Amino acid sequence: MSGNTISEDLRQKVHAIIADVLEVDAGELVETSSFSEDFGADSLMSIEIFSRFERDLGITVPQEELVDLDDLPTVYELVGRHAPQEAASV
Amino acid sequence: MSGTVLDIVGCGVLSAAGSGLDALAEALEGRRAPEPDPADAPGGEEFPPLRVRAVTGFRPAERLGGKGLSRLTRTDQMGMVACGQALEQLDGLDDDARRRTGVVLGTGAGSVRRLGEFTRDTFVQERPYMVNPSHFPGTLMNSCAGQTAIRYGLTGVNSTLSGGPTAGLSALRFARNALANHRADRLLAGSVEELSAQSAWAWHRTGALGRDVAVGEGCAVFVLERGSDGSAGSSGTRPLARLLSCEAGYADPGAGAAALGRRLADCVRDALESASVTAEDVAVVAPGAAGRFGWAAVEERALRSALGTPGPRRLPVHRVLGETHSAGASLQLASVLAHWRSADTAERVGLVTSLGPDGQVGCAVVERAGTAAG
Repeated sequence: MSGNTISEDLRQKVHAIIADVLEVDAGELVETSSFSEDFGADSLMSIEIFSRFERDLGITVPQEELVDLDDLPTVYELVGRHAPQEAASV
Repeated sequence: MSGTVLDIVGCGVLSAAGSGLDALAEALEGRRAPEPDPADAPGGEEFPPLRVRAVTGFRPAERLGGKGLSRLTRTDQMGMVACGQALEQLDGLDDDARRRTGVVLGTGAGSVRRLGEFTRDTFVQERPYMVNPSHFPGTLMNSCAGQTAIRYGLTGVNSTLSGGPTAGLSALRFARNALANHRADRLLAGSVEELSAQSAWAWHRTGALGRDVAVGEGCAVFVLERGSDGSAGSSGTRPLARLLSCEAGYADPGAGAAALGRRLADCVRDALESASVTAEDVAVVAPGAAGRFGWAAVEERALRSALGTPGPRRLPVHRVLGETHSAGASLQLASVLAHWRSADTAERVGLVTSLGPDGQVGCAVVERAGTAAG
Protein backbone atom coordinates (compact mmCIF):
# COMPACT_ATOMS: atom_id res chain seq x y z
CA MET A 1 0.00 0.00 0.00
CA SER A 2 1.03 3.57 -0.44
CA GLY A 3 3.11 4.89 2.48
CA ASN A 4 1.30 8.17 2.77
CA THR A 5 -2.28 6.95 2.76
CA ILE A 6 -4.01 7.10 6.09
CA SER A 7 -7.55 6.26 7.05
CA GLU A 8 -10.15 9.00 7.26
CA ASP A 9 -10.59 8.27 10.95
CA LEU A 10 -6.87 8.70 11.68
CA ARG A 11 -6.76 11.78 9.47
CA GLN A 12 -9.51 13.35 11.57
CA LYS A 13 -7.75 12.51 14.82
CA VAL A 14 -4.49 14.01 13.56
CA HIS A 15 -6.32 17.11 12.37
CA ALA A 16 -8.02 17.51 15.75
CA ILE A 17 -4.75 17.19 17.67
CA ILE A 18 -3.05 19.81 15.53
CA ALA A 19 -5.97 22.23 15.80
CA ASP A 20 -5.94 21.72 19.56
CA VAL A 21 -2.21 22.39 19.90
CA LEU A 22 -2.39 25.43 17.61
CA GLU A 23 -5.48 26.66 19.48
CA VAL A 24 -7.55 27.20 16.33
CA ASP A 25 -11.02 26.04 15.31
CA ALA A 26 -10.89 22.84 13.30
CA GLY A 27 -12.52 24.62 10.36
CA GLU A 28 -9.70 27.17 10.15
CA LEU A 29 -7.03 24.52 9.70
CA VAL A 30 -6.96 23.51 6.02
CA GLU A 31 -4.50 21.67 3.78
CA THR A 32 -2.95 24.90 2.55
CA SER A 33 -2.51 26.44 6.02
CA SER A 34 0.99 27.26 7.20
CA PHE A 35 1.21 26.45 10.91
CA SER A 36 3.85 29.11 11.51
CA GLU A 37 2.66 31.90 9.23
CA ASP A 38 -1.09 31.50 9.73
CA PHE A 39 -1.20 30.42 13.37
CA GLY A 40 2.10 31.54 14.91
CA ALA A 41 3.36 28.01 15.59
CA ASP A 42 6.85 27.58 16.98
CA SER A 43 9.23 24.65 17.31
CA LEU A 44 7.92 23.77 20.76
CA MET A 45 4.48 23.28 19.25
CA SER A 46 5.95 20.82 16.73
CA ILE A 47 7.37 18.84 19.62
CA GLU A 48 4.01 19.01 21.38
CA ILE A 49 2.29 17.66 18.26
CA PHE A 50 4.73 14.73 18.02
CA SER A 51 4.29 14.12 21.72
CA ARG A 52 0.49 14.04 21.37
CA PHE A 53 0.74 11.57 18.45
CA GLU A 54 2.71 9.24 20.71
CA ARG A 55 0.55 9.79 23.77
CA ASP A 56 -2.89 9.79 22.18
CA LEU A 57 -2.44 7.69 19.03
CA GLY A 58 0.49 5.42 19.87
CA ILE A 59 2.39 6.69 16.81
CA THR A 60 6.09 7.21 17.36
CA VAL A 61 8.02 9.26 14.82
CA PRO A 62 11.75 8.40 14.99
CA GLN A 63 14.10 11.06 16.35
CA GLU A 64 15.80 11.66 12.98
CA GLU A 65 12.47 12.55 11.39
CA LEU A 66 11.41 15.08 14.01
CA VAL A 67 11.23 18.17 11.85
CA ASP A 68 9.46 21.48 12.27
CA LEU A 69 5.95 20.72 11.07
CA ASP A 70 4.33 23.42 9.00
CA ASP A 71 1.48 21.96 6.97
CA LEU A 72 -1.07 19.14 7.02
CA PRO A 73 0.12 17.19 3.95
CA THR A 74 3.59 16.80 5.53
CA VAL A 75 2.02 15.63 8.77
CA TYR A 76 -0.31 13.11 7.06
CA GLU A 77 2.64 11.77 5.11
CA LEU A 78 4.76 11.33 8.26
CA VAL A 79 1.90 9.72 10.16
CA GLY A 80 1.18 7.44 7.20
CA ARG A 81 4.74 6.16 7.25
CA HIS A 82 4.86 5.51 10.98
CA ALA A 83 1.33 4.55 11.97
CA PRO A 84 0.72 0.86 12.62
CA GLN A 85 -0.65 -0.68 9.40
CA GLU A 86 -4.12 -1.41 10.73
CA ALA A 87 -4.55 2.21 11.82
CA ALA A 88 -3.23 3.65 8.59
CA SER A 89 -5.09 1.44 6.12
CA VAL A 90 -8.11 2.82 4.31
CA MET B 1 24.56 50.83 47.96
CA SER B 2 23.65 52.88 50.98
CA GLY B 3 22.11 56.20 50.11
CA THR B 4 20.58 55.22 46.77
CA VAL B 5 17.03 56.51 46.74
CA LEU B 6 14.65 55.17 44.13
CA ASP B 7 11.39 56.58 42.89
CA ILE B 8 8.44 54.21 42.74
CA VAL B 9 6.66 55.56 39.67
CA GLY B 10 4.17 52.77 39.04
CA CYS B 11 2.58 49.83 40.81
CA GLY B 12 0.66 46.83 39.51
CA VAL B 13 -1.05 44.70 42.11
CA LEU B 14 -3.32 41.66 42.06
CA SER B 15 -4.60 40.35 45.36
CA ALA B 16 -7.61 38.86 47.09
CA ALA B 17 -8.82 42.45 47.34
CA GLY B 18 -8.95 42.65 43.55
CA SER B 19 -6.92 44.53 41.00
CA GLY B 20 -5.03 47.73 41.77
CA LEU B 21 -4.16 49.86 44.80
CA ASP B 22 -7.64 51.36 45.28
CA ALA B 23 -9.25 47.95 45.76
CA LEU B 24 -6.49 47.05 48.21
CA ALA B 25 -6.99 50.30 50.13
CA GLU B 26 -10.71 49.64 50.46
CA ALA B 27 -10.10 46.11 51.72
CA LEU B 28 -7.50 47.24 54.26
CA GLU B 29 -9.91 49.84 55.60
CA GLY B 30 -12.68 47.27 55.83
CA ARG B 31 -14.81 49.08 53.27
CA ARG B 32 -14.65 46.06 50.99
CA ALA B 33 -15.28 42.68 52.56
CA PRO B 34 -12.85 39.94 51.59
CA GLU B 35 -14.35 37.67 48.95
CA PRO B 36 -15.66 34.35 50.22
CA ASP B 37 -13.47 31.36 49.46
CA PRO B 38 -13.92 30.49 45.80
CA ALA B 39 -16.01 27.39 45.19
CA ASP B 40 -13.54 26.28 42.57
CA ALA B 41 -10.04 27.24 43.63
CA PRO B 42 -7.49 27.54 40.79
CA GLY B 43 -6.56 24.35 39.00
CA GLY B 44 -9.67 22.31 39.71
CA GLU B 45 -7.82 19.85 41.95
CA GLU B 46 -8.92 18.92 45.43
CA PHE B 47 -7.76 21.37 48.10
CA PRO B 48 -7.02 20.45 51.71
CA PRO B 49 -9.44 21.64 54.41
CA LEU B 50 -7.91 25.11 54.68
CA ARG B 51 -9.27 28.56 54.01
CA VAL B 52 -7.98 29.86 50.70
CA ARG B 53 -8.06 33.31 49.21
CA ALA B 54 -7.55 33.61 45.46
CA VAL B 55 -7.08 36.83 43.49
CA THR B 56 -10.53 38.34 43.12
CA GLY B 57 -11.83 38.83 39.60
CA PHE B 58 -8.68 37.56 37.89
CA ARG B 59 -9.54 37.23 34.18
CA PRO B 60 -6.20 37.02 32.39
CA ALA B 61 -7.74 36.47 28.94
CA GLU B 62 -9.16 39.99 29.07
CA ARG B 63 -5.70 41.45 29.59
CA LEU B 64 -3.48 39.00 27.73
CA GLY B 65 -5.77 37.54 25.04
CA GLY B 66 -6.82 33.90 24.94
CA LYS B 67 -4.17 32.67 22.51
CA GLY B 68 -1.38 30.74 24.18
CA LEU B 69 -2.87 31.26 27.64
CA SER B 70 -3.05 27.54 28.43
CA ARG B 71 0.71 27.27 28.09
CA LEU B 72 1.31 30.03 30.63
CA THR B 73 1.20 29.19 34.30
CA ARG B 74 -0.97 31.16 36.67
CA THR B 75 2.30 32.61 38.02
CA ASP B 76 3.23 33.78 34.51
CA GLN B 77 -0.23 35.23 33.97
CA MET B 78 -0.29 37.14 37.25
CA GLY B 79 3.18 38.56 36.70
CA MET B 80 2.33 39.62 33.16
CA VAL B 81 -0.96 41.26 34.13
CA ALA B 82 0.56 43.08 37.12
CA CYS B 83 3.52 44.33 35.06
CA GLY B 84 1.13 45.46 32.31
CA GLN B 85 -0.88 47.36 34.88
CA ALA B 86 2.28 49.05 36.23
CA LEU B 87 3.52 49.96 32.75
CA GLU B 88 0.20 51.61 31.92
CA GLN B 89 0.92 54.17 34.61
CA LEU B 90 3.95 55.45 32.71
CA ASP B 91 3.66 57.93 29.89
CA GLY B 92 4.75 55.27 27.41
CA LEU B 93 8.17 53.82 26.70
CA ASP B 94 9.87 54.10 23.32
CA ASP B 95 12.13 51.37 21.94
CA ASP B 96 15.23 52.90 23.48
CA ALA B 97 13.56 53.11 26.90
CA ARG B 98 12.44 49.47 26.62
CA ARG B 99 16.05 48.45 26.00
CA ARG B 100 16.97 50.06 29.32
CA THR B 101 13.98 48.63 31.20
CA GLY B 102 14.07 45.22 32.86
CA VAL B 103 12.16 42.83 35.08
CA VAL B 104 13.26 41.53 38.49
CA LEU B 105 10.90 39.12 40.20
CA GLY B 106 10.98 37.22 43.45
CA THR B 107 9.35 33.80 43.70
CA GLY B 108 9.38 30.76 45.93
CA ALA B 109 9.92 28.07 43.30
CA GLY B 110 8.04 29.42 40.28
CA SER B 111 4.73 27.72 39.58
CA VAL B 112 4.48 24.92 42.14
CA ARG B 113 1.40 23.62 40.36
CA ARG B 114 3.11 23.30 36.98
CA LEU B 115 6.15 21.70 38.60
CA GLY B 116 3.89 19.21 40.36
CA GLU B 117 1.88 18.37 37.24
CA PHE B 118 4.92 17.96 35.04
CA THR B 119 6.75 15.79 37.55
CA ARG B 120 3.64 13.70 38.17
CA ASP B 121 3.26 13.07 34.44
CA THR B 122 6.73 11.54 34.31
CA PHE B 123 5.46 8.89 36.73
CA VAL B 124 1.88 8.27 35.63
CA GLN B 125 2.21 8.39 31.84
CA GLU B 126 2.98 5.20 29.95
CA ARG B 127 6.55 6.36 29.39
CA PRO B 128 8.38 8.91 31.60
CA TYR B 129 9.03 11.19 28.62
CA MET B 130 5.37 11.39 27.63
CA VAL B 131 5.00 14.76 29.26
CA ASN B 132 3.50 17.81 27.60
CA PRO B 133 6.59 19.61 26.27
CA SER B 134 4.75 22.92 26.12
CA HIS B 135 4.43 22.75 29.88
CA PHE B 136 8.17 22.52 30.40
CA PRO B 137 9.00 26.27 30.24
CA GLY B 138 6.48 26.91 33.00
CA THR B 139 8.35 24.57 35.35
CA LEU B 140 11.29 26.98 35.34
CA MET B 141 11.55 29.59 38.04
CA ASN B 142 12.36 32.40 35.65
CA SER B 143 9.45 31.68 33.32
CA CYS B 144 7.39 34.58 34.64
CA ALA B 145 10.11 37.25 34.37
CA GLY B 146 11.08 35.94 30.93
CA GLN B 147 7.56 35.75 29.52
CA THR B 148 6.78 39.21 30.89
CA ALA B 149 9.85 40.73 29.25
CA ILE B 150 9.00 39.08 25.93
CA ARG B 151 5.40 40.28 26.01
CA TYR B 152 6.26 43.92 26.69
CA GLY B 153 9.54 44.02 24.75
CA LEU B 154 11.64 44.86 27.82
CA THR B 155 15.17 43.80 26.97
CA GLY B 156 17.01 45.22 29.98
CA VAL B 157 18.13 43.30 33.07
CA ASN B 158 16.00 40.18 33.61
CA SER B 159 16.46 38.39 36.90
CA THR B 160 14.58 36.01 39.13
CA LEU B 161 15.28 35.69 42.84
CA SER B 162 14.16 32.65 44.74
CA GLY B 163 13.18 33.00 48.35
CA GLY B 164 10.45 32.53 50.87
CA PRO B 165 8.53 35.42 52.37
CA THR B 166 11.51 37.76 51.88
CA ALA B 167 11.64 37.16 48.08
CA GLY B 168 9.98 40.49 47.28
CA LEU B 169 12.54 42.35 49.36
CA SER B 170 15.36 40.44 47.68
CA ALA B 171 13.98 41.60 44.33
CA LEU B 172 13.76 45.22 45.47
CA ARG B 173 17.29 45.11 46.81
CA PHE B 174 18.65 43.50 43.66
CA ALA B 175 16.85 46.09 41.53
CA ARG B 176 18.19 48.88 43.70
CA ASN B 177 21.77 47.69 43.22
CA ALA B 178 21.27 47.25 39.47
CA LEU B 179 19.87 50.77 39.11
CA ALA B 180 22.54 52.29 41.36
CA ASN B 181 25.17 50.72 39.10
CA HIS B 182 23.41 51.98 35.97
CA ARG B 183 22.74 48.45 34.67
CA ALA B 184 19.28 49.71 33.73
CA ASP B 185 17.28 52.94 33.79
CA ARG B 186 14.04 51.44 35.01
CA LEU B 187 13.11 48.10 36.58
CA LEU B 188 9.83 46.39 37.27
CA ALA B 189 10.54 44.72 40.59
CA GLY B 190 8.26 42.69 42.80
CA SER B 191 7.21 39.16 43.54
CA VAL B 192 4.51 36.66 42.76
CA GLU B 193 2.91 33.60 44.35
CA GLU B 194 0.25 31.36 42.84
CA LEU B 195 -2.41 29.57 44.87
CA SER B 196 -2.54 25.88 43.99
CA ALA B 197 -3.73 22.65 45.52
CA GLN B 198 -0.13 21.47 45.51
CA SER B 199 1.17 24.33 47.65
CA ALA B 200 -1.96 24.38 49.83
CA TRP B 201 -1.35 20.74 50.71
CA ALA B 202 2.22 21.67 51.66
CA TRP B 203 0.88 24.32 54.05
CA HIS B 204 -1.63 21.84 55.43
CA ARG B 205 0.81 18.99 55.96
CA THR B 206 3.59 21.10 57.49
CA GLY B 207 1.27 22.93 59.87
CA ALA B 208 3.25 26.09 59.19
CA LEU B 209 0.22 28.31 58.72
CA GLY B 210 -0.95 30.57 61.54
CA ARG B 211 -4.31 29.89 63.17
CA ASP B 212 -7.28 31.12 61.11
CA VAL B 213 -5.00 32.38 58.34
CA ALA B 214 -6.05 31.67 54.74
CA VAL B 215 -3.60 30.54 52.07
CA GLY B 216 -3.47 33.38 49.59
CA GLU B 217 -1.82 34.39 46.37
CA GLY B 218 -1.06 37.52 44.43
CA CYS B 219 1.51 39.67 42.75
CA ALA B 220 2.78 43.19 43.26
CA VAL B 221 5.24 44.89 40.94
CA PHE B 222 6.78 48.33 41.28
CA VAL B 223 8.35 50.48 38.57
CA LEU B 224 11.60 51.74 40.05
CA GLU B 225 13.77 54.54 38.71
CA ARG B 226 16.81 56.29 40.11
CA GLY B 227 15.75 59.05 42.46
CA SER B 228 15.02 62.46 41.11
CA ASP B 229 14.22 65.74 42.82
CA GLY B 230 10.82 64.35 43.78
CA SER B 231 8.95 65.92 40.90
CA ALA B 232 9.10 63.32 38.16
CA GLY B 233 11.23 60.28 37.40
CA SER B 234 13.23 59.73 34.23
CA SER B 235 10.10 58.43 32.51
CA GLY B 236 8.43 61.74 33.34
CA THR B 237 5.98 60.11 35.73
CA ARG B 238 5.29 61.52 39.17
CA PRO B 239 6.41 59.07 41.85
CA LEU B 240 3.92 57.29 44.12
CA ALA B 241 6.60 56.97 46.81
CA ARG B 242 10.33 56.73 47.28
CA LEU B 243 12.24 53.63 48.28
CA LEU B 244 14.74 55.02 50.79
CA SER B 245 16.48 51.82 51.76
CA CYS B 246 16.21 48.06 51.59
CA GLU B 247 18.25 45.74 53.79
CA ALA B 248 18.55 41.97 54.03
CA GLY B 249 20.21 39.67 56.52
CA TYR B 250 20.54 36.13 57.70
CA ALA B 251 20.67 34.33 61.01
CA ASP B 252 21.28 30.64 61.48
CA PRO B 253 17.82 29.19 62.11
CA GLY B 254 19.53 26.58 64.30
CA ALA B 255 20.32 29.37 66.75
CA GLY B 256 16.62 29.72 67.48
CA ALA B 257 13.80 32.08 66.72
CA ALA B 258 15.02 34.73 69.15
CA ALA B 259 18.30 35.06 67.20
CA LEU B 260 16.31 35.61 64.02
CA GLY B 261 14.26 38.27 65.74
CA ARG B 262 17.41 40.05 66.91
CA ARG B 263 18.79 39.91 63.37
CA LEU B 264 15.59 41.47 62.04
CA ALA B 265 15.74 44.24 64.64
CA ASP B 266 19.34 45.00 63.59
CA CYS B 267 18.26 44.95 59.96
CA VAL B 268 15.54 47.53 60.70
CA ARG B 269 18.01 49.77 62.56
CA ASP B 270 20.46 49.54 59.62
CA ALA B 271 17.70 50.36 57.13
CA LEU B 272 16.52 53.38 59.10
CA GLU B 273 20.07 54.68 59.37
CA SER B 274 20.68 54.11 55.68
CA ALA B 275 17.42 55.98 54.93
CA SER B 276 18.42 58.82 57.27
CA VAL B 277 15.20 58.55 59.25
CA THR B 278 14.56 57.82 62.92
CA ALA B 279 12.33 55.22 64.53
CA GLU B 280 9.95 58.05 65.47
CA ASP B 281 9.59 59.00 61.80
CA VAL B 282 8.07 55.60 60.96
CA ALA B 283 4.30 56.06 60.87
CA VAL B 284 3.16 52.70 59.57
CA VAL B 285 4.52 49.15 59.45
CA ALA B 286 3.39 46.26 57.28
CA PRO B 287 4.70 43.16 59.08
CA GLY B 288 5.16 39.95 57.13
CA ALA B 289 5.25 37.05 59.56
CA ALA B 290 1.69 37.25 60.89
CA GLY B 291 0.56 34.39 58.65
CA ARG B 292 3.04 31.87 60.01
CA PHE B 293 2.55 29.82 63.09
CA GLY B 294 4.86 31.05 65.85
CA TRP B 295 6.60 33.77 63.87
CA ALA B 296 4.29 36.73 64.43
CA ALA B 297 5.51 37.12 68.01
CA VAL B 298 9.15 36.95 66.93
CA GLU B 299 8.63 39.71 64.39
CA GLU B 300 6.60 41.81 66.82
CA ARG B 301 9.38 41.64 69.44
CA ALA B 302 11.89 42.74 66.81
CA LEU B 303 9.67 45.68 65.83
CA ARG B 304 9.26 46.77 69.46
CA SER B 305 13.00 46.50 69.97
CA ALA B 306 13.77 48.68 66.94
CA LEU B 307 10.81 51.10 67.03
CA GLY B 308 9.72 51.20 70.69
CA THR B 309 6.45 50.24 72.34
CA PRO B 310 3.75 50.33 71.17
CA GLY B 311 5.30 51.92 68.09
CA PRO B 312 3.63 52.86 64.83
CA ARG B 313 0.39 51.56 63.37
CA ARG B 314 0.49 47.98 61.99
CA LEU B 315 -1.32 47.18 58.78
CA PRO B 316 -3.23 43.86 59.05
CA VAL B 317 -2.21 42.64 55.60
CA HIS B 318 -2.60 38.92 56.33
CA ARG B 319 -6.11 39.36 57.65
CA VAL B 320 -7.12 40.73 54.27
CA LEU B 321 -4.92 38.82 51.81
CA GLY B 322 -4.01 35.61 53.64
CA GLU B 323 -0.50 34.14 53.72
CA THR B 324 0.95 34.88 50.29
CA HIS B 325 4.45 33.43 50.83
CA SER B 326 6.88 34.80 48.24
CA ALA B 327 4.45 37.52 47.11
CA GLY B 328 4.12 38.64 50.72
CA ALA B 329 6.71 41.40 51.05
CA SER B 330 5.65 43.02 47.75
CA LEU B 331 2.00 42.91 48.73
CA GLN B 332 2.95 44.46 52.08
CA LEU B 333 4.67 47.32 50.28
CA ALA B 334 1.65 47.70 48.00
CA SER B 335 -0.50 47.78 51.14
CA VAL B 336 1.52 50.69 52.52
CA LEU B 337 1.10 52.58 49.23
CA ALA B 338 -2.62 51.74 49.21
CA HIS B 339 -2.98 52.89 52.82
CA TRP B 340 -1.37 56.23 51.95
CA ARG B 341 -4.03 56.91 49.35
CA SER B 342 -6.41 57.85 52.12
CA ALA B 343 -4.36 58.03 55.32
CA ASP B 344 -3.59 61.05 57.45
CA THR B 345 -1.20 63.21 55.47
CA ALA B 346 1.10 63.53 58.46
CA GLU B 347 2.31 59.99 57.78
CA ARG B 348 5.62 60.19 55.99
CA VAL B 349 7.62 56.99 56.42
CA GLY B 350 6.55 53.37 56.09
CA LEU B 351 8.35 50.15 56.92
CA VAL B 352 7.94 46.66 55.47
CA THR B 353 9.46 43.75 57.38
CA SER B 354 9.75 40.07 56.69
CA LEU B 355 11.43 36.99 58.05
CA GLY B 356 11.37 33.36 57.09
CA PRO B 357 12.00 30.13 58.97
CA ASP B 358 15.02 29.57 56.69
CA GLY B 359 16.83 32.40 58.50
CA GLN B 360 16.29 35.16 55.97
CA VAL B 361 15.24 38.56 57.27
CA GLY B 362 14.68 41.81 55.41
CA CYS B 363 13.02 45.18 55.45
CA ALA B 364 12.38 48.21 53.28
CA VAL B 365 11.86 51.85 54.20
CA VAL B 366 9.61 53.95 51.97
CA GLU B 367 8.64 57.58 52.00
CA ARG B 368 5.32 58.91 50.89
CA ALA B 369 5.45 61.02 47.73
CA GLY B 370 5.63 64.74 48.27
CA THR B 371 6.57 64.52 51.96
CA ALA B 372 10.37 64.59 51.78
CA ALA B 373 11.87 66.04 54.94
CA GLY B 374 13.84 69.27 54.83
